[in-house]
Amino acid sequence: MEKVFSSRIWLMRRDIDTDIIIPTQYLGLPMEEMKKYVFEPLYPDLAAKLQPGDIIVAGPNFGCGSSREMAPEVMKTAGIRCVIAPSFARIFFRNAINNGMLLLENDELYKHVKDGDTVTVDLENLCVVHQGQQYPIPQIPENLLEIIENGGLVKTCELENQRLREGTLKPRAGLPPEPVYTGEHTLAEKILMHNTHSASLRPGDIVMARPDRLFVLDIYTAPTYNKLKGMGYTKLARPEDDGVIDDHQIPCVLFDDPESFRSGCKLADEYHFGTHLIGEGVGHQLIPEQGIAKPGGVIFVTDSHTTTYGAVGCFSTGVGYTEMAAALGRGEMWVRVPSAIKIQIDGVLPEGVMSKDVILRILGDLTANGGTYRSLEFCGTAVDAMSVDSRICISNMAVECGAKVGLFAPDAKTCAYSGVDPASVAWMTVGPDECYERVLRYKAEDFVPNLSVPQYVDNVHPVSEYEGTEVNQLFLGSCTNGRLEDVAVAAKILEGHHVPTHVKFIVTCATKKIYKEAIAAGYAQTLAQAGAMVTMPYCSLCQGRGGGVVSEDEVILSTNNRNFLGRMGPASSKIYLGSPATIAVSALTGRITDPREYLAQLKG
Amino acid sequence: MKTATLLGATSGAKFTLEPDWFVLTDGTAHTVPALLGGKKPKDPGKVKVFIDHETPCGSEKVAAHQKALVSFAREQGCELSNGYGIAYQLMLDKAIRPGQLVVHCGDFGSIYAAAGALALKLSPEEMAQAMVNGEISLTVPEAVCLELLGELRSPACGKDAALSALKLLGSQAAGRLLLVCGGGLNSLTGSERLAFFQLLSACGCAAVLTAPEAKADALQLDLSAVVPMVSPAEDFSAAVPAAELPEKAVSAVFIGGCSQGRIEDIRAAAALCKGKRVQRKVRVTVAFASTEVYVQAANEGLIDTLLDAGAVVMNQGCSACYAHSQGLVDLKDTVLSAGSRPCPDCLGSGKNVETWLCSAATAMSSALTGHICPAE
Repeated sequence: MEKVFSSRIWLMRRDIDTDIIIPTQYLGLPMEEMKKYVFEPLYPDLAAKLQPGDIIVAGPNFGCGSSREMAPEVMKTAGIRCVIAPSFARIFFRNAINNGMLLLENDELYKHVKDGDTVTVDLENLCVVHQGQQYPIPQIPENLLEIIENGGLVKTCELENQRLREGTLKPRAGLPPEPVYTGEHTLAEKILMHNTHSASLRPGDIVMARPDRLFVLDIYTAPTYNKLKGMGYTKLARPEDDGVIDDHQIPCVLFDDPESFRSGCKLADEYHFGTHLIGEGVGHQLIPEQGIAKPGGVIFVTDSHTTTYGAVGCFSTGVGYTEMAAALGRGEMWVRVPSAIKIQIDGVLPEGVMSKDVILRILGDLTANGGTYRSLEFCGTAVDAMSVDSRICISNMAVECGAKVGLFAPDAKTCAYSGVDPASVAWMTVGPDECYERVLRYKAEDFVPNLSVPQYVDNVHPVSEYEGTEVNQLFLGSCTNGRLEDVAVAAKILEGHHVPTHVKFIVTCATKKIYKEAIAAGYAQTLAQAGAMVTMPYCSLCQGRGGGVVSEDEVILSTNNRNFLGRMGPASSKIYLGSPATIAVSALTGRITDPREYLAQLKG
Repeated sequence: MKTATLLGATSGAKFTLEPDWFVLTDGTAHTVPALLGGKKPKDPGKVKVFIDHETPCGSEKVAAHQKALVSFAREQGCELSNGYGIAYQLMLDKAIRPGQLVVHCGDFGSIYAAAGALALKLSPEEMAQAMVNGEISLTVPEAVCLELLGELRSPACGKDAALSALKLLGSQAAGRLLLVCGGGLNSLTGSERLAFFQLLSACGCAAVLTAPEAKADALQLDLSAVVPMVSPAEDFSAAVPAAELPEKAVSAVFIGGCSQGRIEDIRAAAALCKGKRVQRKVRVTVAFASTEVYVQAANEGLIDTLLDAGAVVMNQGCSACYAHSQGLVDLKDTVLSAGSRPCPDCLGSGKNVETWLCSAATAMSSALTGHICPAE
């Protein structure tokens, strides 16, 4: 690898998310075709101007959002050599390294350069030079450098498999005997200690985790299959524990979907995955609901919202497809023990305030990169009072501040939900304050209905500030808010009413189980009679590939988890994120409305 | 009674008629608001706007078409149905009366003949002009008569009768006024009648009407001889009894649409798959003709049955029959549809996808086995 190189730079803003790098509707294209659309929502003309070797300099939190590994892969294909930014979202960071693309961290450079300037990257002297000024960059850890120098993780695994066959590399040793665990720890540390049989772990330690379950979601089955082949794996380490879930593209909504569906079947059949769920609902709800995720477990899935199962005390996080292929083949994956932020909420939430409002407020306070590679650990009496479903909403969105995981200690409700013996998880408790990098304390009574306002998830404001804003479409559903309690609150509000006809209204329960419960309770029928299109349980509009795409300047009020630029339509469309109660009360008039007054009337 | 005028007329006679309804949908009439060129409909109360083809919407382009129609309806005070089901079904449920004249831009206006109404297909340009003037001119085409005899026998249904009729008609009704009559017509149930009339437009006729008595040279279809049929979507002359088709594997199945999306059709499909699973690699989409059908299906437990069988149960609307936004297929697929397509540019990547049409029952029994077969 060249140690010193110079190139033109493209200067970009903070929080460049992977939907901006490559929008969802292009993910099925071959790389050479896909590269024509790189950065399209924000810089429609950039793809045509990129030259091989170009460098991107950007603000903090580059690569946040979706786990799609096509983002670094397409950037590399488009000729981009490296990205220099103060910080990178963690999944993107790993994906870039795994594809052999260099990411360099510097806090200052982006403040001092202009688009079109030239910089020199000097890996020997660990600095970037711009107009004679040196900006330091940290040393790249040895294990990562090896991957980059091999040109990526595929080659690294291929070499490893070759050495294993030749006998020049010994298979990794199994787990050591279970030790006596010592010291006070965060919940994340405790789970990783139990997983790896480490007596004690601290933030920054690198461990080889042994995932209990590994799942591939449909839109990533074809690349996962190709990476497994490229690495030379003929079988998986523990196929009975692994799964494929078709949830984004059943029903097929894009022309590439039928072929992608066939790829999923091929992957599941040829590698003998123990589980293949087709059209059963959104994976992130199925995995906790079916007890695949359990308290104390470690799970990796090819999707950023894998943080969801933290709600049942599972260390779960999203990975790219190359990382997934390596983990499927090796049966293990390296993890850096995260620092942690304790979030304690005591008291009673006011009427009309849902757990969605709580996590939006926290995301606004932490900001989009305030939790990068942290474990968020939730506790307090307000949290104790929440249903498991409400907690799932919170863990689901933990990734929106960059968190690795969003954990809740299991209680009686969790054990009943996940079907585990409370005694077996008694060790799973949130640690004392001194284990945490930060402790945030909230009074539940202070929470209000909140909105995430276009076009950043962390742009959070009380609903009251946006009251009266006219909307064109409403969406109730997704792995964030597609559970029975979400549908129930909406049905109670909308019973006997009709949404204004100019407003489109889409409802999607998260899984078949929930949908059937919603039908049994009459909620689905009530919502349909109020004007809703009640769809099959699947990722629906949340993914933005279909299921309710909008046109120029249209406004969506939605219960899902992301309002990134262009996620559900053109760059001029606007997405507001809110709670099911806010969506339902706003549905009465077609204008954004604080639900509290209406709910108080309904009760009175 | 506009239909009576027409029935009594000789071919070549010219009339100026005032339509009772002007129907606009996002599938075929999204350009109409712009074509009005700033003029207003003469009677906005007669204009009905339906967002039904892509619900929910699948692309920015179609979202813009829908937005244009929604804005038009709001500005002009026209009644708007925004994702509540298929225009044909909702018009039949809520607006159409016997003897009325409907103008629209769609492909299956023959369905209105089931309710004794007449539908005429206009181009978007003609539609815009007709809305402004409040009237259309019509030259009566030559008539051809189809006489229905006997009664349907289970498991044959209205859709099978439609496919049989299209095979019989061939190109004889192209450009003509198709008159349907005979004692067999009265033997059809409400939903059988709708399914029968819905597809008749596909014979290429100018319009379809029911007539009180048969002409001397009427073509005759004996309903009692009808069996479950399948037909290549683009060639009804090649329709064959489903039981006689050599084994044909299918990969995508659709049940719904204005052809087979009513509660009787959903019941038939659910009865067949109760306690069973459709083939794992066959993508089965079910969708409802209207909100009313959806609610009824939910209340009767039919949605649960279909979900348990592994079907993808979508919302009310044109769904995978139109297939621009849900239930897409590609060139590797073999499609069996209880809908009425494809036309070019429908059903995903389009014309070259092998597509067969059949009833809801045949579609479901084929989904269970993985190859085309009639219900037992």
